[in-house]
Amino acid sequence: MKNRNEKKNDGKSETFCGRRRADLVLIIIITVSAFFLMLLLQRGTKGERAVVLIDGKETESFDLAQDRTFTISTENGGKNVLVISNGTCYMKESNCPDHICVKEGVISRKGQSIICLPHHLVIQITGGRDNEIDATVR
Amino acid sequence: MQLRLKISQTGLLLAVSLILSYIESVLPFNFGIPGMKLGLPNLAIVLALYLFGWKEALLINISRIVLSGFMFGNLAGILFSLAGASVSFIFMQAAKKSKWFSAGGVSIIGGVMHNAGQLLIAVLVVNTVGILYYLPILLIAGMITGGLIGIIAMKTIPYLRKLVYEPGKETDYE
Repeated sequence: MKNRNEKKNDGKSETFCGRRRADLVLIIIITVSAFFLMLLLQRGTKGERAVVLIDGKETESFDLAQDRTFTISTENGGKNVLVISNGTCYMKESNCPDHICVKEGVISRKGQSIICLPHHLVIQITGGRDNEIDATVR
Repeated sequence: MQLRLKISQTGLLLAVSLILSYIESVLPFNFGIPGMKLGLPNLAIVLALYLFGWKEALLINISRIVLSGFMFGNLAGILFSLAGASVSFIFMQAAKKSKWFSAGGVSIIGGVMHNAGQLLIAVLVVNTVGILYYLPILLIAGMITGGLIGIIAMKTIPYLRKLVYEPGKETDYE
């Protein structure tokens, strides 16, 4: 044990050996996989419709080109006010405890979503005709 | 004597983790992505993992979530934290056991898995796979926050080791 401590003190030569190198490999793997996932999942095209999903089921769908304000009521007593303006949409009000959905801000690109966990509610942006909903899990 | 020392030191780390939970609940670090967290309390968990062992770390982890949940959050929050924390804890313990990574790497794994775990729970709750859109951001965010916390842990462990001296324990944090 003493020997190891002495070794540690002798400078920078050990910095990228052993465990540190495994850490570096880990960082590279995570960065690369995140980058690939980003390419796979996030294509920055502008969305055309805002789809309202409650418990994974589509209940409503709005054209982002038309400005409007809509109140979504969920079965467990949730009330969320969704505002669509200028091809973007955001959650204006919600009676959920954490208000994360309101803090999520404005979304407009395909694949983006506003999530209100307490109400099991997702607002998802989809792109026009080819895929209305990317995927829905039963 | 030994047992009393252990109880008080475990309690001390629990207090540290609660303070960190409080700081996290006050800091406005939230980009509105479910599951995204700074993960400050994870510092206490990493320290406990290296200073005491997995049993004590698990005890601190669970008590921390329940106590901080009742103090600064709500019941749904507790369940989500519990899900994220248990996923991250299992992976951290496995990573530590493998002896491949330093405390920094273990902490990175913890941060990434916490975020990924919470997002997966969110997928199950809202029944929509589409929110996996945020996975890449959460991976990177977990890596950065986990890495910073890991660096803090690596810097503090040698000093705390002197207080929690147990002969025969190796320097396995570097």
